[in-house]
Amino acid sequence: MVCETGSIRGSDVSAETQVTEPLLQLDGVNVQIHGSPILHDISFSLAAGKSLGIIGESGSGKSMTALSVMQLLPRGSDLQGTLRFQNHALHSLSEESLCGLRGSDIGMIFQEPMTALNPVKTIGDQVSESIRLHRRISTAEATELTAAALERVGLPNSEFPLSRYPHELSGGQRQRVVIAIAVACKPRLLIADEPTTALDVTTQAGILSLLKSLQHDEGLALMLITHDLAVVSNMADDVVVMNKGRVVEQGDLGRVFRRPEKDFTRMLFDASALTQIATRKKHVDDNAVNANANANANANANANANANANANANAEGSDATSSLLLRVTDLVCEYPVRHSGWFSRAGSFRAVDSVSFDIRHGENVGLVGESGCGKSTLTRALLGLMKLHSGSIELNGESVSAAREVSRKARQQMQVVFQDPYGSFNPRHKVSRLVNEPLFLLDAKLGKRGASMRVSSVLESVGMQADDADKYIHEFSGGQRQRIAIARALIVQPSLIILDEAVSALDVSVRAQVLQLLDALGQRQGLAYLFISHDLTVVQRVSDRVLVMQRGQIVERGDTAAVFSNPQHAYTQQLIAAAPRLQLPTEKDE
Amino acid sequence: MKLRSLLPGFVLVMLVLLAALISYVWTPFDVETLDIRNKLKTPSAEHLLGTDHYGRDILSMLMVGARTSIAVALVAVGIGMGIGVPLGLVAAARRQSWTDELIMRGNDLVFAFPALLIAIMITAVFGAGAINAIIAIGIFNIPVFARLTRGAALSLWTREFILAARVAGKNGFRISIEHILPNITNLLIVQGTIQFSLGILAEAGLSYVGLGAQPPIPSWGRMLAESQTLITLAPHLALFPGLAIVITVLGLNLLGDGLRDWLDPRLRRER
Repeated sequence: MVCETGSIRGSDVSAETQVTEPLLQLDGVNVQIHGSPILHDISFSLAAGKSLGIIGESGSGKSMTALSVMQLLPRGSDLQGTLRFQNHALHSLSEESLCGLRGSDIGMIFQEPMTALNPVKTIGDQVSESIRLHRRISTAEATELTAAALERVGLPNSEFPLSRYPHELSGGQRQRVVIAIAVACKPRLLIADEPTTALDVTTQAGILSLLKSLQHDEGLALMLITHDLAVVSNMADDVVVMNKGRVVEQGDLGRVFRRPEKDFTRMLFDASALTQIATRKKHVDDNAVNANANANANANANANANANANANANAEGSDATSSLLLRVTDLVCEYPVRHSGWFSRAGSFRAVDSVSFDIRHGENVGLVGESGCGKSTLTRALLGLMKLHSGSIELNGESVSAAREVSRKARQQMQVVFQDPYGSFNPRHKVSRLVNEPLFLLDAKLGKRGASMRVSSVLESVGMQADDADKYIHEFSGGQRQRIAIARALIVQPSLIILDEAVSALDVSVRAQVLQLLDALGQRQGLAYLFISHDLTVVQRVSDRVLVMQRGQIVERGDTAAVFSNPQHAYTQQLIAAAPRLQLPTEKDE
Repeated sequence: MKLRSLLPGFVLVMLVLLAALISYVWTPFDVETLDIRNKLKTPSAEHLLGTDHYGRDILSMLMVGARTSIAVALVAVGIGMGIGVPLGLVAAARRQSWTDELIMRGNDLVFAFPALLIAIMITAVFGAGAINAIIAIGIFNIPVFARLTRGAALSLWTREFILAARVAGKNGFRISIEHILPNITNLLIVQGTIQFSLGILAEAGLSYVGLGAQPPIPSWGRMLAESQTLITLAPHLALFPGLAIVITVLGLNLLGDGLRDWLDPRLRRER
């Protein structure tokens, strides 16, 4: 194992000292970019063969820390402090010797497997590139090592020959290729920056267990950067909690998780576990009697609130309270598949396959499924934005389909909050105009003053300020934007809000706040929610009933508590098993 | 901060515009009077930019010529935008329908003819002149704007805020006007200024081959064409019209860049 440049690995001296000396040591690292401080006094160490979890929300500086270890900080940044890796002082190495370390002694995995690979090169080429860059070996030997590396990450050559291109692989398989590139040269340290955030739960479980086994078998040290406490709790020996560019707390995983010393850490735990939102929901731990009593009380409260809301907006709907709101029967949606020749018949892909369910007034229904299961198509169909192949959607007894124009009344009853807090607003309009857009649906026009009063009051009801109406959307953070999106949905006083992954893009602390807000609004205004998400923790917390969707079909349905405690369908069992749970190591450490 | 190009662009364009406007009420000399005794004079206090082979004052001719150039290019861009942008919006709103297909294939048809060929065709039918030059350049501008608009609009149609607008019950026409158009204005402005400067060049080109504005109306392109034979004798005859074209095109491009930055609310707030 000879590396071309820079590396002094494998000498007897370092092998001996590795036992006592940490593999990686950061001491008082400060980073400024164009004069503005990004990292303050970061110090931690990582022993060989151990794993370190770095936890933090967006903007906490966790990725910057990883980049400073790799010495790949963006242009215009200034680093102070010391970074030691084995016996190299990383901060004072030349670019040439750093190139020898990167990819050879230190490997890195990125978040987005879709963009981390070069689309025009085969996976074999991309893995062997890193091997041949760092080792002086023949092409044949490199090919052999490449095949071995891909085999190692769970891509057997018989099924995944080296000549495959990235677009022929799924997201999880691509991430495996990225890992193969990172570990091909048998590094001592592997930095994984949110390696599973972009992946489905079942895929995530596979990647995490792969990382674990790699770490175990090859004795490499793992620096795992993530916002997900559950992932860290299953993977790390030590944790570093970061906030606003500083280390808030660090230490042994069990100690930090069981007895956090800082308020910020505690807040992070509460937010991740969603403990504040337990009030209304039938949580698995609650006893059934209590839960039922609660649900009944709420149902009554909802019915009242609902009557009020409907009296304002829609006189007809008021006698239908606590009864059926939305009924979907045998819904089928198909996409045409591009035909291959001029005269061949166009095929079709069935994205939603005979789906039936209903939602009552004031009810929270969760819809769980992984990417590609047809959730988004179903959302569009419900909103009347695409043609139904067959089946029907009835909202308050009125049919919704894109075949003819959906009536204003139906649209006004059903609003939506999308996933992306950045893409769901026209950047050229002010908040007031964005929020009052659905008022277009009302038959009675409110006039300028009426509309602006309505905007102020909904903005306040979602915890924003009335004068935020005069700002542009780019002035707000992700969580604030999501509040504005909720305000936009609320302004026409709908009975049902479809939340399409509405909290998936948010940090855990913000996510908890938004969920609390939704919960409070639901109670006050008697709203029903259709909560579409891939995140089981969230769905478990906020929904009364849950639907599990796979390949366009609903494979399991029932009360949330029942489904989560006793899943019947194999897919549901698999999903629940794969979801990382926030679990503490057993007391044996202490 | 991003206004570095707005100011110089604005100044250059205003300079040309002012010259054109002033020429309506006053020019140093009359451009239709020949003064053979003073032919081919180099720049002097009397004739700031010299005289041509008929003794006409070059500064005066440039000022009047700016009128022709600006009018032709402006109207041509107006035709291109006025027809091309709505076509592009309709094509994007009805994407993958026969309407879309019809519009885009029509565009391809127009694109297949070089502008000069269209101009020659039009002059063959209607005779040479500034109006026909405008029509020829204008027709050529339509597919440019239609394609640009359709491409930009298509990517906007997939965005979530468009979905939100559809959930709010707005139809394709309303969404195109309220959401698509404001988000492509900066593209259109930049393309508009580029087409404007290309229009000035095209007008100069058409005049150069005698298909643009007819004598005695002065035109930058024809001034260049006439100076060709005298280039060794009196290089200033070619130099000044050439400079006028360069300054106008440069000014328009700078102005377009600056306007795009200025119109963007994200950049405007940071200023």
